[in-house]
Parts: sequence; C-alpha cells; structure tokens
Amino acid sequence: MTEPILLASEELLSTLHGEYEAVYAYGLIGAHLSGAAEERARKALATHRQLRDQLRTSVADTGTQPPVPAAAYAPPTPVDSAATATALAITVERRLVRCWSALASSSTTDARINAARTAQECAVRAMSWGATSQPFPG
Amino acid sequence: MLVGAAIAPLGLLAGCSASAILLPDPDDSVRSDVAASERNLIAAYTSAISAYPKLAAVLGPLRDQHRDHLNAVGGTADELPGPSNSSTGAKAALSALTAAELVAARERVAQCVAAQAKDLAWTLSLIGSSEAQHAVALAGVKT
Repeated sequence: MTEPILLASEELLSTLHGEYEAVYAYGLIGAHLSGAAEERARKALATHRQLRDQLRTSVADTGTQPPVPAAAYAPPTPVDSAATATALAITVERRLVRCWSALASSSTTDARINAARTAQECAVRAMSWGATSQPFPG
Repeated sequence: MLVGAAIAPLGLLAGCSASAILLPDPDDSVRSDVAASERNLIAAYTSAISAYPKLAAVLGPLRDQHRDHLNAVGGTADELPGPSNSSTGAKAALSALTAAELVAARERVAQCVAAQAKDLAWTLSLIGSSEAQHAVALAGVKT
C-alpha cells in the first residue's frame, strides 16, 4: 500500500465535526417538537446525515481515516422545550454556514461550488426556524 | 485560479504576504464585480423604500446588510440614485427584490470560486448565504 500523500484539511475535519453535531442536535431537537416543526426537524436530520456521509467520503478520499463522532454533544444551553429546541436549530445551522464557508475557501473548484451552495442552504434552513437574516451569517 | 486552488489545501500559501508580490491583485476584478452588484441591490432597495415607505421597516435593515457587504469587499459608500421603481405595487416590488437577491446569491457562488484569496472566498460564501436569507425574509413579508 502506498503512503497517503494528501491529508484532510482542518476545514474539512471541522465541517465534518459540525455535521456530526448537527445530526446529534436534530435528534434532540425533534424530540421536543410536534407536528410541522417535528417534520421539519426530521427532514433537516436526513439532510445533515447526507452531508455527514458526503464529508466522510471526502475525508477518506484524502487518505485520512474519518474521525468518529463523539458519543454526545452538549448543547450550548439546555434543551427542554420547543422554544429552546428551535433556538438550538438556529445555532446549529448558523454555525454550519461558517463551517461550509470556511470549507469553500479551502477547496478546489467543484468542492468549492458545493460547499458555498451548502452554506446557503444552511443559512436558509436557519430562517425556516425563525432566524433573522445576518450580513455575515454565523 | 487552478494553481491557487491546488496549492491552498496544502497550506503553502500561509504566511505568504500578498503585498510582497508586485503584480495586480487578481482578486480586484472579483471585488469590483461584487461591489457593483451590491451597489445595484442597495439602489433597488432605496427606490422600493421611496416608492413604498411602509416597507421601510422591513427593507431598511436588509439594505443595511448590503452596505456591510459592500464595505467587506472594499466598495465605496457612494450610492447611485437608483432606478425609478417600475414595479406596480408593493407586492411586485418585493418579488423583484426577491428575484434580485436569488440572482445575487447565485453570483456569489461563482465569485467565491473565482476568488484566489481564501479570506475573500470565505467572505463571499457568507455574503451569498446572507442574500439567500434575504430572499426568504422578503418572501415572508405581508403587504
């Protein structure tokens, strides 16, 4: 076997960690929601699982073993109601706008297009949870 | 573009000062394209606000964010008077702004790809994300 000559960038790894966190958070978020909001959380969870898998593939493609997720991610504030669950969803999506934008800035053309578009999708998802727009989201 | 894109992930450009290179900044044209787009958006908001003053509370903060975008790419604050608003009604004005924001968000992806400097690419991705948010905010405005 040849030695891996490419290493996953810091931005790639931190975006993967951000998506691990999002997948964990949306499990928590959905548990406190019902009806349309619960359905929105379920869809967001499915999206972030796909993004996580895509990033794991990207990391593996560099010849780096993808890191495993933490057993749990403590939310910045306790989640015990629909309101706090919604606030966490906004926090998670905004943070991911930063991660994906950093990844866009460190990637080659195709990956950059994908990362910049994904940043926009996270920004829009934050709005679906009631976030206000920001000049530089995150 | 390809050279920069290929080198950047290896971190070889870190610490390399752009001021040490005596060539025109390849990102100047990207910055001026973004600045022109932001000035047009600001002008479009200004004319919509002057035509429909009751929308000022919603549109004013979004216009301010475009001023932040303009500053971030080194654009000057001098603003064009803005085209006269040709929309027929507040609803049409909001639709036109929504469409302009969606176009801008798409353009920022292409400009992010064109940018050589990492910090500019990062900023353009954030600006595009902001503009995608604006489109959602405008779509939710009741007239």
